[in-house]
Amino acid sequence: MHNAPLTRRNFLLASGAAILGGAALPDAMRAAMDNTEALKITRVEAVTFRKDLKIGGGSGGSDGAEFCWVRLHTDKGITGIGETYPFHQGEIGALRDYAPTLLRRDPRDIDGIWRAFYHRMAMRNAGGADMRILSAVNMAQLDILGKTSGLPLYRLLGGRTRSRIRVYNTTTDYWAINEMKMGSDTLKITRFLLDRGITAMKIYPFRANDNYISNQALEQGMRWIRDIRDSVGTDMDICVDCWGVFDFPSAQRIAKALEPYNIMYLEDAMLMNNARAYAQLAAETSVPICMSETFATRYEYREFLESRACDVVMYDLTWCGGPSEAKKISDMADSYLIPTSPHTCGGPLLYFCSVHLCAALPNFLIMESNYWKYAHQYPYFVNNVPVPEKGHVSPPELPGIGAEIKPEIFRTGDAIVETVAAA
Amino acid sequence: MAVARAAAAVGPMKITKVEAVRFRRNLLIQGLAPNWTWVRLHTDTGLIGIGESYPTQEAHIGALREIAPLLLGKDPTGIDRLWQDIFYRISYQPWGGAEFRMLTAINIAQWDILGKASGLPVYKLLGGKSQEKLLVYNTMNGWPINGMREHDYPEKIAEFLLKRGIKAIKLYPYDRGPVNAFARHGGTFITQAELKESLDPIQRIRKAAGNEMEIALDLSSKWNLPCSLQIAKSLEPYNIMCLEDPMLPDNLEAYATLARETSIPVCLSERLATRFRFREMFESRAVDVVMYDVTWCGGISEAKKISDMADTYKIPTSPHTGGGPVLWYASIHTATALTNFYIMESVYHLYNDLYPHFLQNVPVPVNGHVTAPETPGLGLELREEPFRNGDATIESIAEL
Repeated sequence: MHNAPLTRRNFLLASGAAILGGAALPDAMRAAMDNTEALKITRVEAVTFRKDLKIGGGSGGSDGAEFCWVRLHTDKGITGIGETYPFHQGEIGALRDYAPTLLRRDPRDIDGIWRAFYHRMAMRNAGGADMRILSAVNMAQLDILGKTSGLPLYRLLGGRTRSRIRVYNTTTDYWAINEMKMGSDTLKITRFLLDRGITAMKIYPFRANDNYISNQALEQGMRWIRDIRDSVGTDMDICVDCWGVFDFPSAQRIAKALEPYNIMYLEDAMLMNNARAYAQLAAETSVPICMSETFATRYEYREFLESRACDVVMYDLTWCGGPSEAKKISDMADSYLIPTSPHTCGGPLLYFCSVHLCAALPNFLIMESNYWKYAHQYPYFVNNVPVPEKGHVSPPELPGIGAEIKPEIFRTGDAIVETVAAA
Repeated sequence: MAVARAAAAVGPMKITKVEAVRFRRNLLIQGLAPNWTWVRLHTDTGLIGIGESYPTQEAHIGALREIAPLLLGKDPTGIDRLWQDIFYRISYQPWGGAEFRMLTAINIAQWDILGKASGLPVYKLLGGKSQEKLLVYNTMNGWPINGMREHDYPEKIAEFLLKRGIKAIKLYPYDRGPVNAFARHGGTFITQAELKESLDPIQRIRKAAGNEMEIALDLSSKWNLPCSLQIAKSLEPYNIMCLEDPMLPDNLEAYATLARETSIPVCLSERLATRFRFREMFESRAVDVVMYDVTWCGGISEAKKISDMADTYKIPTSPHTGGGPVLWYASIHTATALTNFYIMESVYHLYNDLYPHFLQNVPVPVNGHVTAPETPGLGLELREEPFRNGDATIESIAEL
């Protein structure tokens, strides 16, 4: 198929008007362009969403779109889309600062653009809004590469290493399943997931006002875990996330309390800024230690891998530097025999890209998913959301990211497009 | 009475308004554009604090819009608590970048308020006067002195500085000027000829001024490890004061290798922020002199904590100041309070030509040293003209 670029190009030229119209041409019908020709970024757009958006569906409080999109337009009419979250003002501000350097660049020069961007940011502490917008730009570049080559993203990341991707459900009160809450509805939630073939969940059982966890708070958290084990035995895998709040002795006590319960992993038990403290925790407990979507770039993960600070790597590919950086982090983790468990609780494109990436990763453990998001939030924006079947998802077989974004969100005022830079 | 008055002045107060100050696009003052953003915190006591960061504007103001609501109603004198709360809030989605620089600017504004409320210059709140006056060097980079660039007139520049008692200079021979080996190979390789030619300004200064002029070199983090080792080796005969940022500071083991291999003191890096990152650097013996930028590293509080930790490793501090005027004042206050001070950056083109456009009392080196203002807070005496003529505009970001 790849030996017929001329035919495809003619097809592209014939459909030029439709392509320039953006979503008018289904992605599936897009064919590879002649990739020997230069491609240039001509316009950079930011897409934000109406603040008072109410998606509904029993979310328990989080009803809107906490993400923003970046669109890269090219002189060949192909556009790429990227995403980040959970803010947008800093990110879009950073895009305004950096976008002029993207104009007229070939978006397929993925590592070169990344490196230049990183060096400019690293001048003053790489991370934050700047790193998140770099992640979104990187995603949009890969989307373009996919569309120009006619390949789904996972084929550009190493191809398929598995056809079905196991997911766990992240269970919080604000992205709840039909208004159910952990604690009062622990068993109903567990049953709801198992009935759908979802055999793993992530919970947040430990609360404290400060960095120290009291015995009472520890005991209260352990009750959730015992309730699950007592009712469904080991049918349900359990991940425990602590949002990085505890000090070292509290993290040790939590890990010790969890040891008898076959926990899949303990995530971000302490603030994620001391690899040695994590290495000590990992050495002292039999509970696998997972960290952390709060890191960005392979440079930052390297140190934690080297010091044996974790057993499972988690990243968020809309924060860590984009899909290409995420792949590099996983490949490095693989050399330590450490598997990957991507964080996906953001927007729909994060979810789509994570599915593509997980299909390609040799060292994959399990992927995050959230029922409210794939049942209610994502379908509000995208038509073909991969919904778990028997606890597994698969990537779309469409070029690039392959998310069929609903054209109507741009007509209703839900999505607001702003040109940030134009050649 | 005095005690009661002082207690009332620093008594409970609230942040009532957060403002950003932006500077006119295309504003050029003697060829220099202000590339910083100011943050102003208003309080219910009427006291206002000013902080700053740089070098971009839109990302900063966008990030400030996200953070500002967390500040309203808070007591600005609760400096460490507010830092920690904001840091925890932003540390999940890889921390750093624009919102971290705004946290930094907010912290500086808080110190300005605490100083004004207590009637004390900021350095007195940081441990007092450890340095009567601060030794400075002059950074060249893209900042010529009266039109003279480091590569064209190294002897004349040295003479100009020495005449003013400034006996140290920082040069950029590897990524600027006629050789610019970086531009030729992108930092991946350097030839023997380029190594030799890059020494030209150093040799010329040594020839003209002997060892009277200290020479520091900044490599702008553009090189890999083997190039860094080669460059350091070629510099060994020249009594270099310090070698700064040859590589990106994201692998401190690589720096530890370099520091072991060369006798030149290795200095890094204003690219790092928070005591957490600097701790790793000290622990891995990656560095001989610590450099930070008070408007990037987390603010005055964080800078002081980093220096105090460095002191336990016998490592001195050399603050980076090549940004805006608030950075210059805040660095002077911080460095004045440091017992482990080394030498501070200064830029003639900035303090002589740019800062005075915005401030009336810019500290200027006398006999190669600067001293801290004795007025309360940071002691910034702002000029009103830039606010009247539209060079600076105030934008309200959040209000109670």
